Formats: sequence, structure tokens, C-alpha cells
Amino acid sequence: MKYLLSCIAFFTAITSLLAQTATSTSINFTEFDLNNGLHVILHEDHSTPIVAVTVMYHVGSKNEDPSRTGMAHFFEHLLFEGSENIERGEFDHYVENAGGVLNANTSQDRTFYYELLPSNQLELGLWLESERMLHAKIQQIGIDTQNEVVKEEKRQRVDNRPYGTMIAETMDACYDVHPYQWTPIGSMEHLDAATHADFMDFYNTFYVPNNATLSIAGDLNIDEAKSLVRKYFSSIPKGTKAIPRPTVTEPTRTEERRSIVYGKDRLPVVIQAYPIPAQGTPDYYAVDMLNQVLSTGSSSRLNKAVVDEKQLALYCGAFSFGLEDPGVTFAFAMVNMGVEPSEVEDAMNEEIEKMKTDLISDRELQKLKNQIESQFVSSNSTMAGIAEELANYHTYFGDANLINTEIDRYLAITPEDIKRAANTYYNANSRATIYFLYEEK
Amino acid sequence: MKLLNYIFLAVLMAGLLLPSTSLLSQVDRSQAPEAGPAPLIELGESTLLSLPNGLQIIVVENHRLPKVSWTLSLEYSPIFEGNKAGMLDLFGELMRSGTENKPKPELDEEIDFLGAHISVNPKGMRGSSLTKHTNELLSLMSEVLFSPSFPEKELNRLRTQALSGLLASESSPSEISSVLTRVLKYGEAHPYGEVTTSKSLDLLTREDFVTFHKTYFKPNIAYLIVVGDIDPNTAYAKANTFFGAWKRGDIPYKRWDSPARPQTTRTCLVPLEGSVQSVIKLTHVVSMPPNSDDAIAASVMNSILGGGAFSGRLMQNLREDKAFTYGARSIFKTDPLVGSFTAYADVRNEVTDSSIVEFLYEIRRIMDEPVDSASLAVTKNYMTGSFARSLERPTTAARFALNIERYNLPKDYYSTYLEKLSAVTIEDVQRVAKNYIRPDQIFITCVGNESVIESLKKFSTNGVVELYDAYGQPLIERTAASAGVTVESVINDHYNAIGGVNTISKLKGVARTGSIEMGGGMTLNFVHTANYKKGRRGAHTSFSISGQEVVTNVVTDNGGYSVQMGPRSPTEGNELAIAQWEELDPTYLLNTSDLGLKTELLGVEQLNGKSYHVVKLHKEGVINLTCYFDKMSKMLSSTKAITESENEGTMVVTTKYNNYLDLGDGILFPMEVITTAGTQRMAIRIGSVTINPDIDLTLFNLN
Repeated sequence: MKYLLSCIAFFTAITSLLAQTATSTSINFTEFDLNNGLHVILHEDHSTPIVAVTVMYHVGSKNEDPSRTGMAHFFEHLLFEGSENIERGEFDHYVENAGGVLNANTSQDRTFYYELLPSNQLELGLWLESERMLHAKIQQIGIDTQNEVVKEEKRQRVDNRPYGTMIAETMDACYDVHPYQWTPIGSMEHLDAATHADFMDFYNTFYVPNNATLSIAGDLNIDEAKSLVRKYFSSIPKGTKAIPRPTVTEPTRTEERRSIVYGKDRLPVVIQAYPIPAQGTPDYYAVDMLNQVLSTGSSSRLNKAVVDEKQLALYCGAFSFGLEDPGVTFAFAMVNMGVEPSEVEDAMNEEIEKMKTDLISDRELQKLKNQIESQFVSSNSTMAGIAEELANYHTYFGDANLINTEIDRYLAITPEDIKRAANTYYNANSRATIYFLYEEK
Repeated sequence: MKLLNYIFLAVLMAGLLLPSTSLLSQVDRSQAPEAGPAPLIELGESTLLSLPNGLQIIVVENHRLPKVSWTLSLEYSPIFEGNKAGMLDLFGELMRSGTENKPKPELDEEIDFLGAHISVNPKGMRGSSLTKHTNELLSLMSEVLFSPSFPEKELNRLRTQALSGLLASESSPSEISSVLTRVLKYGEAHPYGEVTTSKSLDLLTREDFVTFHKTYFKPNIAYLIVVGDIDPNTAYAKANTFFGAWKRGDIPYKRWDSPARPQTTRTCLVPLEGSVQSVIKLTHVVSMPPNSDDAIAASVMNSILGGGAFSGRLMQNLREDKAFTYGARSIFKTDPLVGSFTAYADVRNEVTDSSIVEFLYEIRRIMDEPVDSASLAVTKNYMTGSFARSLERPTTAARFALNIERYNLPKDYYSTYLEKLSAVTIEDVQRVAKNYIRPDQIFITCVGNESVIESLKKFSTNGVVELYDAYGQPLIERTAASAGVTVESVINDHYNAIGGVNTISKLKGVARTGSIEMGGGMTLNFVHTANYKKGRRGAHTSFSISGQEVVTNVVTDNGGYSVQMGPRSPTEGNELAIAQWEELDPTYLLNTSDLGLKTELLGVEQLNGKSYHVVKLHKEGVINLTCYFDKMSKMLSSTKAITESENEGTMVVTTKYNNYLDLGDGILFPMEVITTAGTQRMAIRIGSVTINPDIDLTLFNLN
């Protein structure tokens, strides 16, 4: 049971319900650009003697050459291998010897690196990140090792994990022309085919200051931090290459796409994926609020009807996969044993239909507002989280202050907006419906 | 002039350039920058209070965010669920599924309306909300605490979900691995080793949940941990308002044994079709409570080996050097009852055995070689940093206060933690590695493709890979016995192997003495006297402690009785018939006709690297006994008796006969007899055996 819940947590974690933001007291920050185009955001908070040093590169799997999928994520692994001044394997060592932790992750839209350090080690974090940006060393031995490690990562997180292929299958069903059709882990054949020259080209194109946001939060002094940032980053040359961004638009579908994927997982899963507008657009917030009505809390409509009353599923909910280009929202259910997936699908549709015909009540609206207020207060409780959110808002919207103001966009959504969003976006003709079923041997 | 101009210009430019080049050269990129002065690490403060009903309150005041969380934490000894395994997994959700006044939908809606959360688990409950909703939250929490309704309908829903979950876990490598290692390490008869099955879920009734709540949800074993935007006085007043009426109660206490490590290294595999990776765990139990003096040194040792740090040896070796895995780590877990050591990784099928070689290499290296001072320093720095980072969350201060209380740690345990960490030496690290880790008495477990079996054999002491199913049950391979082998030949072989059918059948009597070890560390004296002479047959068994008889059992041809710290109760019916058969005849296995037993040779079973002839002795409604005879030594190795009763359901009693020894009379007796029934385990260790002794026949008097 427990692991099933963790599957669900994994699934919902990748979909950002209410991109976490704002607290009751607003988050103060300072931001500026270096001459080379690096955007810098600083947040000062002395409650704990730690500092989060983060760099967000505006490159993800959607920037990849379709014959080199998985490159952005693979590259993230390579950038721990060392630099002109950091020996292979020493990157982690420097951070851990300083009492810090480090890691990175790659999404469809961006790659994010971070070090969480004791606050007297701020300069170390800046040195490491500037080395990574200025002259990372990409050697064949690192390429060969990380090629195997990434394959293990894919086996562990996708192939050998219950329902591990679910997201890849769904994205593939939702997109025909846009690069969101593949997921960040990409194709192992493509990675095998990549040459040293491919990596250098990727590095010189995307890992440039004018494509990055340096976001630092914690126990720091703004002036000191500014001069340290200049010291380590101002000499990094601006990129000279054009940064490719996808311009294709996924055509609107007019007919539902249905498919069945067979695998070794015993319980069926039903996914309905609906195309939605890009994150940050007014309708994106309306869809997010609609999903909140359907899925947040035990009293949410899908849980109440499908899980509690009809007892058809272990779990049922709907979440937006908020992306920079138009994304998708998933309504999904993990079906109880012995129940027909179509019965669950009908029950889900029934709840969605109600959203299209009826306005939510005043009390339900107030519940949504209370939930949102509570969620906004609870988010941004760590320095690492604040640094990342500031970088997100700047990278995607050019407005880091959304960390304080995005809540207003949610609170402005009316019951009419929610009903309209249900009718516009929860459209059976544009969705992809997938059943994941057990294949009897 | 022109020239001068040029020179001037050159100087000017140099002058202009110089400062900027010198500015750039200030950045010495070749060296990592020096750290600034170390910041002061301050522990958050907590306040400890208590209500008259015994409820202890820990308050951590932190006004950063306008919210408060309330956590009730119950402290009781581990619960064994037996044939109701899985009840505790469902307990929290069921208790949160409605109160006497509010059915589930109403309760859910009221909690969600506040934007609050309330969750329940068998060890307590947790609620959190914005500060302004505190009273409403506490009112709902106390309603759930005091008057949960445990609705039948919701139990059925949760049961269906749990049954679905069980089915799903049959194809989850990580879930299977966690069940397998639990069963192997602790055994199914231990609270830490129980396995939920569809059968145990079917047996759950509403009453089980009601009783559990009534028994264990008491203030005198509870801590209320309050964290957030609230001061201790207000927290106390609110606790008193909402939990002050909570009534004390007596809580059952049970002392559990600490399971031992395996005697040898055992390699255990759950074959899973289609696996592209092997989920490997090397694991054994460790006896180390959280308040042990070695606990910090052990965590340093584990951190160097494979703790959270990326520079851990397992990670560096198996990932960064060999590229066998995405991650390899180890955990050293302290526990008041029994802890564990586990090293683990998911690796591709082809490198399964190579990975185990590296695991064992790194485990032995940390035992055999002193760690270098640089590694020790990195690890201490890393752990110091982790400790400091953990203080970012106000719940940490609350956890520290709770641990000091429940694990009986010194009051300054956390305020002096960094000093203690810094004092750990190279010798300490090697000492704890040597004292607590045993790679020669470890379970090497793997969930993965069956193709890896051959390559795993070399790791187990007896050269055998034991196979298990998804529920941690041995996969038994049964084949037909060779031609000519019969029930009679197998039983005759047994008696011949231990001294000869003739010799044994002519025994006039046997007296044995020894000790009995019961659960909970209790040891008693054991005396067993049997008279086999026709007409006067009788057997007398007594358990005593300091000369005081605790249990007496008597069986004769004319009847029997037992005394267990109280009045005699006669032994009658089937129970008597079985006791007469087993105890009054030294070659009882050959004499199956008196009881009218049907016998059957089931074949040969492979178990843990040995082969056994399996014989079933059976009579409907009386006895169902399966006997395992070691194919090599011929001797009876164990029996499994299955009884059915309405109250207990199916009960399986297994008896193992170990260490057959000839004490000088030409007859071999098992020196150790271990009987297990449900959670009860009893080990008889024989000290002396006298054959044909003088017997005081009054022992067998029935009056």
C-alpha cells in the first residue's frame, strides 16, 4: 500500500498544483543583471546560518534535437564531473567537506543546480557554480561512466518501477509535433550516439550566463553577496550562439485518441489527458482551480464520488502539468481490483460533466480560497524552496515578484471562470485517454 | 610627438588595463575559496509541560508563518497482529473516516473547508491549520480522537483498497524487497516481521479497531507536540480545553525478544519475471538502542560507508567508478528493541554478483582498515552541516525534545551533539564497524530476474540460493521420492540413524533434564520423565523456576492432566489420544495404527540447501502432522502440526529437532527442541539424558 501512495506522490509531485508561492509576510529580494546577461536574485534571511546557491539554466528536454533526446538530462550528470580547476569527482567532495549538499534536476523546460551550504561557505558555492558555467571539463571517461549511470537511472525510475512508463506514454499520446512528446530521460540510443562534439556544442549554446539565473537565498549580506557574485561571474563571457527554442504549436485535436498500454502492473490505471494553455495565462489558473475542486482534500469531488462513495478506485484526482509551452492536465485513477476501468472512466466523466453544467456553491468557493491561503502560507518555508521559486518566476515570466503576487491571480478566479474552463478545456474530443492494463502471461 | 603620443597612449592603456587585469587576477580560480568564520549553530527552544491526565506537551514557538501544527504521539510496546496482520495499516484511515456525530463526507468537508489537515495513524494523529482556525481544528481533532465511529462501510472500502494494494505489490520490486528483508530479519512471529495477506485482511472486523482505539489511545502514554505560531501558555490552555477530559488508562505492555542474526550468510532471491534490475539488499539485525554510547560513532561509520553523502564509499565505488547503479547506500538504524544494518542498490541484471562483491569488499574494508583522517573529517563536516540544516525547520526542535523523552537520552544530547560528533576517532569508527557488522552472518537478498541464481550461489555459506515468493514465503520445490522409498522405510531409517529400531523400542524409560527459554527472556528448568513399561506407562513433564513448579503435565494409559499455576485440568479427547501416542511409546512414529492415522509420503522438498523426505500423518479432525526427515542424516528434522479452531483460526505449530547427540548410551537425542506457535516460541535445551532410569511411579498418579 505504502509504495502505491508513493507512486501517486511521485506522479502528483511532477505536476505543479498552484506553483508554490507567497507567504503572509512577503519575500523581499534584490535582483540585477551582469553585463554578460546573467540574472542574479538575492534573498536575505538570517533565521538559520545556511545559504542556498542555485543556478537555473533555461534549457530542458524541449530544447533538444529530436535525434538527441535525453541530452539535457545527461548533460546535467556531466556537469558534476569537474572543470578546469576542479578535478574529476571533486565537485561533491568540496561541497560535502564544507558541510553542504548538492544536486540537480532536469525538466522539460529548465535545468536546476543547487548547493545548500553553511552560510560561511557562500563563496565556495559561487566558485563551484562559476566554474561549471565558465569551463566545465567534459571528458570521455565521464561521458562513458555517466552514460551507464543514466541507463541505471532509467531502469530504476522508469522500467523497473511500478507504473514507471505512465508519464512517458501519456506525453507521447498527447503530442505529435511538439518536443514535449518525449520526457527528459530521453532515448538511450540517442545518448549512445552522442559524440564529444555534440556535448561541447550543447554546452556552448545553452550553458551561458545570458541563459541562466543565479538565485541565492539565506543568511547573507546583500552587498557582500553582490560583490562576490561579480567577482566570480562577471568575467564569464556572454554566449554568442542563438539559443534554440521550439516554435512549433501542437495542432488542436478534434477527435479523442484512445489507447491501451499493457504492462506487468496488476492494477489498471485510467488516464485522461486534456491539452491546456501555458502556465501563467489566465485560463491556466482557471484550470488549476477546477482541478482543485476535483482533487484537493478528501472532500474533493473525484475522491468523494469515485473513491469513497462508489469505491471504484484506490485513488482518483486531476492535476495540471504546468509547462512553459501549452501543457496538459491529467485526470487519473488507480482502479480497484475486479473493477472495470470503463466503469471508473464513466464515474470520472460524470463528475467532470457536473463542472460543465453547474456553478460551484459559495461554500465550495470559500473552501477553495481557504485552501489556497493555507497552501500559500505553507510554501516557501525553506531557503532552497525560495531560491528555486524566485528563479522559476524570473525564468518563465520575467517577474520574480510573482512569488508574492501570484496568489491574487488564483483568488481572482470566479465560479463562472471555473465552469468556462471545464467546458473549454475538459473537452472529450481533444483528450487522449489511456488504459494501463495488466498483461497476463 | 606622435611617438610620444603612442607611448603615452600605451601607458595610459596599460594603466587602464592594469587595474582591471589585477582585479580579475584577484579571482584565483585554481583554489577553492576559504570559508568565512563558522556561524553559530543555535538549537530552537522547546517547552515541556503536562496535563493532570498525564498528557505531556512539547511546545516549539516559531512565528515565521501564521500556522500551528498539533501532533499526538503515542508510545507503546510493539503490537503483534497475528492472523489480523494489516489492521494497523488500515487503522488510521478508518479512525479518520467518521465520528459518532459526523459521517465521513461531513467530516472531510469541515476539515477541507478550513484549508486544514487531519491525519490519524496507529501511533497518534496530526492536525495543522492557519493560526486563525486553531479552535475549529482542535475541536475536530478532539472529536476524531474521542468518538470515532469506525463505520463498517468504510472498513469494507479500506479493505478492498488494501486487497488491491496487495495485488499491485506483487509486481513491485521495492515492495517485495522490503517484505522479504523484514520476514528474514525479524521472522513472521515478531511484530517487526509480520506480513499482511488477503487472508488476514479478510479476518478484520470493526471490533478489532474499536478495541485497539479503546486500549491504546490514552493520554498517559501520549505526547502532544505543538509547533508554530503559538506561545506555550496558549498551547497549554488549548490542550487543556480540548484534551483535558481525556481519561487515563492501563496500557498492556509486552516485552519482545530481539531476533538474532542468521548463523551463516544466506542468499535469498525472489524471482520476478521481466525485471531489468536486481534490487539488492545486504542486511542483518543490530542491537543498538538510540541511547547507546556507540550510536553517534555508528552513524559516522555508516556515513563513510554509504550514508547520505555523495562521497560515501558505496556511491563512489558502485556508481562513480563502476557505473553499476544510479545509487548505492547503506543505513544503520538504531531502535529501542532491535535495529538493523542494510546496504542497498538497484543494479542491472548482468552486474548483480559483481555488485555484491563490491558491497562485501566495502563492508569488510571499513571493518579491517582504519579510515583515513581525511574521510573522517569530510564525514564529520558533512554531518555537522546536515545537523545545522535540519534546524531550518521548527519541527526539528520538537523532534529533539520528543526523542530525549521517549528514548531516554541525556538532556543535553542534542546541545552537545556536535561536540560528541567531533570527538569520534578513527578507532571508534573501526571498533563499531567490527562490533556491529557481520558480513559472515548477513542476508544477501535480491529481487530480480531468475537468471541471476547461478551467480549468487557463491555468496551463501552453504552454496544455496533460497527462493521466496512476493510475501516472503519459501518457494518450495517438491519432487517425487526415489523408487523403493516408503513411509515405513523413511521412519525406520530415522530410528536406525538414532540408535536402531530394536534398541529404542526396548527402552524401559528415559529421564531428561534441561532448561526452557521462553519469550521475553524468561528461563525455566525442564524435567521430563517417561516410563515405557507395559501396564505402567506414563510421562511426566515439569517446568519450574527456582524450585517452584509452574507447569506440570502428566499422561498415562488411563488419562492425564495438566496444571498451569492453578487447579488441575484433565486432558481429554483428541488431546489425550495424541499425547498418549507421542509420549508413551519411544518409537511412536512407527505405530500409526492405534490412532488410525493415514500416512502419505509427499516426496522430497528442497529447503535452505537441504533435501528432506516429507511424510504426512493425518486423521480428519484429530491431527495433521507433516514430518521432515533430513535426506542425508535420515533423522527427523522438524514437524509441522496444523490445528483448526473456531477462535484462533488456523494454528500452525512447528517443532525443530536440532543437534542430535549421543551422550554415551548409543542413542542420539536432539539437544535442542524449538517449538513455535504463532508468536510463542519455546526452546528446550537438554542438559542430561538418562536411559532406563529408576522411576518414581507416583509421578504418574492421577489423583
